[in-house]
Amino acid sequence: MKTIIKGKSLVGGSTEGTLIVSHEPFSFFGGFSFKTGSIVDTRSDVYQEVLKGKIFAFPCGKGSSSTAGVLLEALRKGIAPRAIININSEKILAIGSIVAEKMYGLNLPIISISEDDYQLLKTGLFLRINNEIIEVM
Amino acid sequence: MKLTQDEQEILSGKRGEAAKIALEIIIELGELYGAAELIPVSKAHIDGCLYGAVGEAGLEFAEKMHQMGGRVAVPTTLNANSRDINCWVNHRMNAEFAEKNARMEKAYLGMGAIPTWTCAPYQGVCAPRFGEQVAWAESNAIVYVNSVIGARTERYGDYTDLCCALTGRAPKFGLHIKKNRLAQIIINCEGLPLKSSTDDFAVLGYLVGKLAKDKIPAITGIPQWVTSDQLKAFSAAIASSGAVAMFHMIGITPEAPDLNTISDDPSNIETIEITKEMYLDSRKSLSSATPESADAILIGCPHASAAELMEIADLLNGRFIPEEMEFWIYTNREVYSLLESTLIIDNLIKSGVRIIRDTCFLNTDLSGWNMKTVMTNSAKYAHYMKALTGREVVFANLGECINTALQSKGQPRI
Repeated sequence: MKTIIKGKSLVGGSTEGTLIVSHEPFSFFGGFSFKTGSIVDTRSDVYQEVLKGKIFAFPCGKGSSSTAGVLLEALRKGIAPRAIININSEKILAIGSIVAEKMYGLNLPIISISEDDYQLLKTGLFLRINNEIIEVM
Repeated sequence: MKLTQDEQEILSGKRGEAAKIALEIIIELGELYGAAELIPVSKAHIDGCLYGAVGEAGLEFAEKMHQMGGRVAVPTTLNANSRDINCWVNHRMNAEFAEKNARMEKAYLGMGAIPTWTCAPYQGVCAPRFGEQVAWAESNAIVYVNSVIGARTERYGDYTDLCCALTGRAPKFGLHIKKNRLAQIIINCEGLPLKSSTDDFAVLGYLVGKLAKDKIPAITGIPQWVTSDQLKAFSAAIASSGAVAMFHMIGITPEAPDLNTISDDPSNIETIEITKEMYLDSRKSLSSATPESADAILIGCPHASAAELMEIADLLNGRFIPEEMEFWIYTNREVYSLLESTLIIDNLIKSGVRIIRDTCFLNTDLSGWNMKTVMTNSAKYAHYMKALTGREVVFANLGECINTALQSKGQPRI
């Protein structure tokens, strides 16, 4: 049975992909390498996961303000996730997506969902995203 | 969003294409987070100039804005970049990497930014005043300027910083507004035997960041003798483990004379008491190796102040560091030039210390160096070391760093 989650679309867009879920605050700077395309923070619960083509969920941000820069470079190189789902989406993250649209015409949807809905997310699930609507297949 | 006539003029392109795009980006960000209008900011601090951190996209963004005639509208300081501008050749740096960084410097200086090249701009000549509305990026600097100085900035990231600088505007949201600066969690440190050393405050900041996540903590039980350098270490640590953009320290930071001033109802706020065990666990979590394995000492994250350089010179007291040990201090050109007129810089260099300006160990090219385990008194270095440089790390206090260096093997380098 399909589950539908309705969130708040911060940056709109449609995409689909397999989900990678972290349950810890995440920083793209020091967390993700735009050289290798994978999670490099050894303390992370999604360490070594490759984000290209995936939908990446983490509850909230942390750390450096270079997260925007790392995300933009990942988008430019085509190794960024297809969408990001948070409970609390930071401005530092949103700006990476906004600038990617302006500079490269690239779309990275960002959606915030409730803490309860976040518990429905599991690594490996296939999601279809259309603005604020998430279909769990 | 409601715009002033001035802002409409920027948006119409009358002040150039770069300012127009910059304002469009700020408006979009503001609207996403519910801002109804913009506010003027009087200073900006740019984080996006770190080529090592942001790569080609960051360089393209800076050069594009520069080529379109971008010019900063307010005094704009620059964060550390990815090379020591004067001495990068001595630093075994890849020339192509250095050249990319030089292009980045040219773009930002061309737009009229001030060549501060530091992650600790709040200790320099361009620091803002209490209550001043600014747009700052660089996570440690955001925390320090909001908390210790009491200026007001949101937790801005790369590119927002330049857009605010080019327009002199920021969205009216978040920490720009006084009522959003109240405490959201209370952290009680009264039971901790804190010593007056930066590493103790780095450990504490690292723990508070983990506990507070993205909330504003009010910290109680901090001794009056805490120094600005210790608060610098605290700010860098709290912004590494958490998404904290500001903190209050009761009786220390300017907005927090007491709990009632920074909370409508302190008795209703979640309170966590930090125990000695939690504190020691936090310290332990910062190391991935043992002190014997250290083959380099790194000080200066955030950039070392004049007082910190003088303390290291005092502790070394003319003794030589053996050649199998690297001892590096990262600082900025403002501090360096202050001390150049004394013997401090000379004495440190004679002892075998490498003093590096403008840049950061985490964001430079280290391909010419083979150190495997670094020892540092910075929680921020310790936090990011493995992921960003592949190196192991030992967290220690300054005295341990210096003793480890002096006791290492090899002939003294003279």
